Amino acid sequence: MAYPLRKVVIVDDHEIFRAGLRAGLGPTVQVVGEAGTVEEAVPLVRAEDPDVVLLDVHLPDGGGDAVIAPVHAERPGVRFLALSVSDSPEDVLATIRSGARGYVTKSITAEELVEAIHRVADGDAVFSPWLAGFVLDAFSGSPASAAPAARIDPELDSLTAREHEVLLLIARGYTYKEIAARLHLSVKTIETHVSSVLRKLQLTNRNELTRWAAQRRMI
Amino acid sequence: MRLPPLRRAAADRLVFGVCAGIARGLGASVLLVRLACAAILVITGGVGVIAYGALGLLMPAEPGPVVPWTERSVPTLVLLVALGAVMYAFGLQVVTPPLGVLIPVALLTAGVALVWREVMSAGEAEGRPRTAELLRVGAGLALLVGGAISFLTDSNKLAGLSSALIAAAVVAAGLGLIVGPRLAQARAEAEEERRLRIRADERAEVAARLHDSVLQTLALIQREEDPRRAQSLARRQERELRGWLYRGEAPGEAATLAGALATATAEVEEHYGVEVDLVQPSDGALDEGLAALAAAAREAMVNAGRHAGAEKISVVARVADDEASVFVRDSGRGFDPARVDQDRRGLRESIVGRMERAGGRATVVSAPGAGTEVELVLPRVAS
Repeated sequence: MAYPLRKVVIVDDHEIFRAGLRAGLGPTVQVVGEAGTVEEAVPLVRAEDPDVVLLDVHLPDGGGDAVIAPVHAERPGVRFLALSVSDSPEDVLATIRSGARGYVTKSITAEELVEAIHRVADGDAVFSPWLAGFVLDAFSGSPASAAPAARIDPELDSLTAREHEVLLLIARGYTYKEIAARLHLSVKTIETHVSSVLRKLQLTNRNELTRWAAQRRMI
Repeated sequence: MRLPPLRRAAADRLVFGVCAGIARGLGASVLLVRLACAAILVITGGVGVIAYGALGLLMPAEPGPVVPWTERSVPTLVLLVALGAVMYAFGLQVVTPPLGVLIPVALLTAGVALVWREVMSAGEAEGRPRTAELLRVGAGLALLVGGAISFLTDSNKLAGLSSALIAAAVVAAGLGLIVGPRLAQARAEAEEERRLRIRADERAEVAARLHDSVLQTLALIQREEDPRRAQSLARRQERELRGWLYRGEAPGEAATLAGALATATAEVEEHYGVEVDLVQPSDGALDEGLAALAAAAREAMVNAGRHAGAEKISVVARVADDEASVFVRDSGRGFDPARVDQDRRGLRESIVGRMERAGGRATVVSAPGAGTEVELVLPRVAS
């Protein structure tokens, strides 16, 4: 597939990992900067104005959300893709809820990662099988157990049947293309469903989300 | 059976809510308790009044709005006046102890009540100034001592054995209440120390475990020439460590579905050199049904590892209250399920048969060249 060239900043505190990542990203992704801490990352993102920031959800001086928060409003064109190996679900959740467009685990193949970068750069969302399983689980059951003070928004606090179906297929390891073929939908429609789930994940008041994250571990 | 703690009633109180509170605690009729209380007051005279007052101080008030005084003043005043009249008419000259006993007993009771309140509220009020606390305990003590002294000075004149016993019991109880909180604190400190020791022990166990497993494996990996073998060692160690850290499992024994699947995944990765991506957001204790599900899933992974020729197998396991499911998927060469040899025991017996025996079902979706997906679904009965 012909992808336009994307400018990417890598934020991860492991230098060896950054080097490995850079080597595998191929010709359509240009790494314009690297940072190992929140302190380095924020000015770097401001200066480089990249298309996508590959962001470790846990850095020595803060979570990934600490990088997103200061830049998100002033640079709406910069998309964040959370990347982690085995961080606590709280960190992953905080990073996504502060505005990341997706989450992938570090075991992702280079090819899949490149695809994810382009997808996020286009404004779509990317869920790893793990995140999809997590969201399915957190959104299952009745939303009655949301925080008592919070209003239940039926639109925000539950998944549609189609979204449920799409997430389950992502959790089962299907690619967007395979899901589209199986459900007789276009890849664009699948992307719309996943983006809608991402929006719900970022805005819902369901307190299962945090409880879930506190109890479970994400691989 | 444990009775609920006595609390002064808020809703149907007349004076302090003592009678209504006792009635609720005992599950008896309020009217009966009030009658009994009135009878006791009449018979014992002044002592009964002191006891009632002491109970009013000792019993914590029930949470909730109290009936305003304006609403209950008429019945209460009528009742009190009637009670006073009856006490005056009958009891007063007959059984009332002399003033020389009444006053010390009243002092002692008030002292005990003050100290007791202090003890009861100590746990709730963390940030309260210590001087106020000391003042209260001091006042309680002074009352106790005053009561005891005035009792002793009078007792040579009016030494009633029963009054002496009551006073002694009250003093003893008061002392117990003063010492009690200190004892409770000492016990809390001992508990804290025990917790710290347990933590230290746990830490030592973690260190020992990491040494035996992770450090050994790291040493092995450093000397390993074959990268594939090093990778498989690392992956296996990672799974084992995760199982132990997050599910509390020693290697080789699985207590939950996630544990059983993680073990199966590690075995398949090791035997067939294929990567297995296990996604499991929810978990359940390994009962008979889930064990069958895990075994069937293992067999499906083994099949995929052996026949599919795929690089990666995706496994997702979900456990809900009403259903548990595992999907095992590979994007390998696939096959035509209708044309599987009848002697292929793996699929027919170990997957489909096993799931059916456990009350579930297994569906195999595959076509040549299109990969294979095995869906295992097990309905669960809410336990």
